Amino acid sequence: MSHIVGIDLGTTNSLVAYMDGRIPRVIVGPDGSKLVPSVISFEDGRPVIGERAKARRITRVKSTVYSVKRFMGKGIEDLSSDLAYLPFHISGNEQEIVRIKVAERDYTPPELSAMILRELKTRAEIFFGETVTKAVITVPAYFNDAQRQATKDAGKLAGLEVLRIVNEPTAACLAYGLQQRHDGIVAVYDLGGGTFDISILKLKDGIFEVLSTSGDTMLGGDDLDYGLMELILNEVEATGGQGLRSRAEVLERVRTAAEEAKVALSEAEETEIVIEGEGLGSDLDYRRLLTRAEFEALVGDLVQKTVRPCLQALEDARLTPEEIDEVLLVGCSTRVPMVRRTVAETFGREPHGELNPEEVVALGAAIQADILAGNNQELLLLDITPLSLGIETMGGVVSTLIPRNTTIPTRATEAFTTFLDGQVNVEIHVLQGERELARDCRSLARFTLRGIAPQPAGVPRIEVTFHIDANGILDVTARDQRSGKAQTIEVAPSYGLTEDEVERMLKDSIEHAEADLSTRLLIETRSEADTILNATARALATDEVEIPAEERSAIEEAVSRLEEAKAGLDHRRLRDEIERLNAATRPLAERIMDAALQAALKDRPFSEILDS
Amino acid sequence: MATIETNKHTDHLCWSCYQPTGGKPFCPDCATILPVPPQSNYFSILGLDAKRMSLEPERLEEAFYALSRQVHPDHYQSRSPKERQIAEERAAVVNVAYRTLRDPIARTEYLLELETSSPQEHRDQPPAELLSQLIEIEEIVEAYRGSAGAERGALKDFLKEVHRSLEARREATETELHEAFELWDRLVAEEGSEEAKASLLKRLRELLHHRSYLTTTIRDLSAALAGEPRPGS
Ligand SMILES: Nc1ncnc2c1ncn2[C@@H]1O[C@H](COP(=O)(O)OP(=O)(O)OP(=O)(O)O)[C@@H](O)[C@H]1O
Ligand SMILES: [Mg+2]
Repeated sequence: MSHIVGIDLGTTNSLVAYMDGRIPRVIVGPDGSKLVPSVISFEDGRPVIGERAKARRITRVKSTVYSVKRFMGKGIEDLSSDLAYLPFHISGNEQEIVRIKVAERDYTPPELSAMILRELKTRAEIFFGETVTKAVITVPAYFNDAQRQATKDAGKLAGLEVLRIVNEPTAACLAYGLQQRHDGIVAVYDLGGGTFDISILKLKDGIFEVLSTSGDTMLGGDDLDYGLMELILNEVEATGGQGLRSRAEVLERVRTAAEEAKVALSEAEETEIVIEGEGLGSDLDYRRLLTRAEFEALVGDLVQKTVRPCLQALEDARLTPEEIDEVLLVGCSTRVPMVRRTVAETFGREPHGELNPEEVVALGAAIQADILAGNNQELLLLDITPLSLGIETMGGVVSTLIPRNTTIPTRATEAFTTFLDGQVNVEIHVLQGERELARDCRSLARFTLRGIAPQPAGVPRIEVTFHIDANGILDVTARDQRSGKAQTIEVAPSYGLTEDEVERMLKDSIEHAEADLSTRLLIETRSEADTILNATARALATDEVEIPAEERSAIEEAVSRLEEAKAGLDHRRLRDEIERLNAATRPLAERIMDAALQAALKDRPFSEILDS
Repeated sequence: MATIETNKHTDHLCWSCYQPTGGKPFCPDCATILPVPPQSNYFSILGLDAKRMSLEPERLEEAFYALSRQVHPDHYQSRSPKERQIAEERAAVVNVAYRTLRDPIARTEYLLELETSSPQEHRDQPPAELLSQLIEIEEIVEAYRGSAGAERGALKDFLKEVHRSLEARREATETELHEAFELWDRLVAEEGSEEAKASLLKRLRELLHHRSYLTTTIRDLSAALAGEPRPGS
């Protein structure tokens, strides 16, 4: 069976992992790194992803985007804080999918996420030496239906069959549980670059039952950075800096400085922030000492915002902090000392931070992939839906059909009828959220039941089944109760792409086909490179023929150039270096052949040599 | 095979090998996963005695975990689309059944739904005495919301006391529920009279009703004491 990989598609960093027998491992890229920064930059119209794109954030502001995960499944009205601090332009109508302008073109968030996924897919393909088409992708547990669907769409656009969307804290717990192997109640506190999740799980004999979850999909390291950016911008403005906030390069420089200072303060008690005047379009450099206490005063409210969801999760699980056996920290923002303190206070114990907080999620995704592949019958995840699902009823009130924290898959059935004589369509407005009024909840979609036979008001009975699958994604089917016939439903997703749009994007994307081709070429060329490198090593070790020093050093140089090219993703360069090594070894190869031929001629009859 | 009552209804035949299934989750013949029979209820789905109301949480959990291991869609990923769909459906029903039966209130509501044709018809009034008490409490809560100074402090202390006593009363309804469960199980086991069952069901309905009034008042009270607006307004 082909490999199913586990992918942590993060706001800041993404990773891809696999099972090496019974052990989950992160795939190391050709450059030796495990993390792929979730940054996309366009170079001559082609996307580059990861470290290389990250390095272009300041130099190529207009062609570079990041933190795309924050926009998945969102409308423009949800993004106010990001709009003020991000250097790229985001547009869109209310309650519609947003578009991000980069390199003079508009992209939807799933299209951009697909580029990151494609990079991870390529990584895995190079590692395995074969194509990878199936994946488990993680999302924040508190992601709503639209955000999950957007992630699934991104997978599809990247040429991946998404076998399962798994919740990040659940995945982390799976990796943790596999390692620790003891039963109990675990709380997972995951504060990453863009999102916050808290999940409480019960571990028993290989079953991982999620009891409750809560969180905030707009709270993470990015928000801490914004807090610090605001301080810096205000101070620069106070010394006469003008129009800073509308200049993308300035924002980007300030953001980088803010993040660096934040990271430094996780270790040090104070740090110096320096932004050269040039970067601010001013004669003066910005210089400032920032203490940890000042930083904490600045971001204290944000960190405190994670407490309420923790208490909510405890209440929903009907547990007290004392009943939690272990608190697990996930996500790199948990390196902030104030975050650790807050967690310790909330749960009344020191949290567990030994696991590498940036890798556990990907490792868990790989384990879940292994379960789905049928390789592990002992472990089972019983996950839940994070938000209540309901429909709008008279007066704009929401009637809940599936309460939050219900184990998935799950379903609920509701009968609908008409209000007017002869009415042939019924509209159903589906919402997600905990508030009582529809306007305070998240609109998921409007479904229209069509083709109802005209009858007096109240007579038709259409039975609608709301089904949340194991990915936490809603599916709606309808049946005429009298005829038993399936009823057509037209879906208008509130913040997502329609199926047609996804299909069209798939067809439209020429880079897609091109990227596939270059991956395949790269894989083939790499294996060719391995063959010639092996042969060369053997030839250099031979004692059958003499190798002059210059020849040896020329060959060794070509070998190291080829090895370097193999660490990259450029198949053309790899091809060139193969040719160079071929040329360098040709005389030696001929001499070895000659020697072999001579030896053969000496020992064997002529006829045998001709036959062979 | 021993004689199994042959039923012409296809729901009782395995969709894969057409052998009788006896209403089991898996075909006794070919072990294929089977759809949930239409006449099943949450008790039968979790493999419990029909309408048994006294349930130990640990036993229930065991049954839930064991069934989940058997039918969870994770374990059907490489099977045929039809098997996958059936597993998904079965798992969904098992999940809903467990969620309903593990909670004594939801379990009672479910029993009432099974036993009475239309639960909506029986919207009894809460006992007059409770109702007048609750109305009085709501008035004090209103006064507290608009109060200040020393009066506020006194009202707060008083309301805290009320909060405690209401919580205690709500807990008492839970104990009463469990006693009623045992009575019910005995009635079912001993095939008690229909009148006895009907009156016990009525009692259960009253208890739920009672409890729901208490819950609303406790919620308002907690919100007021925490300085939050009235829930839902
Ligand atoms: N030592 C550190 N101290 C404080 N913050 C840090 C440190 N190292 C990294 N971060 C911050 O952690 C965030 C990235 O964390 P992580 O890689 O876990 O996020 P992610 O998985 O990409 O995001 P998400 O899970 O929200 O989608 C960034 O905001 C980064 O600035
Ligand atoms: Mg993360």
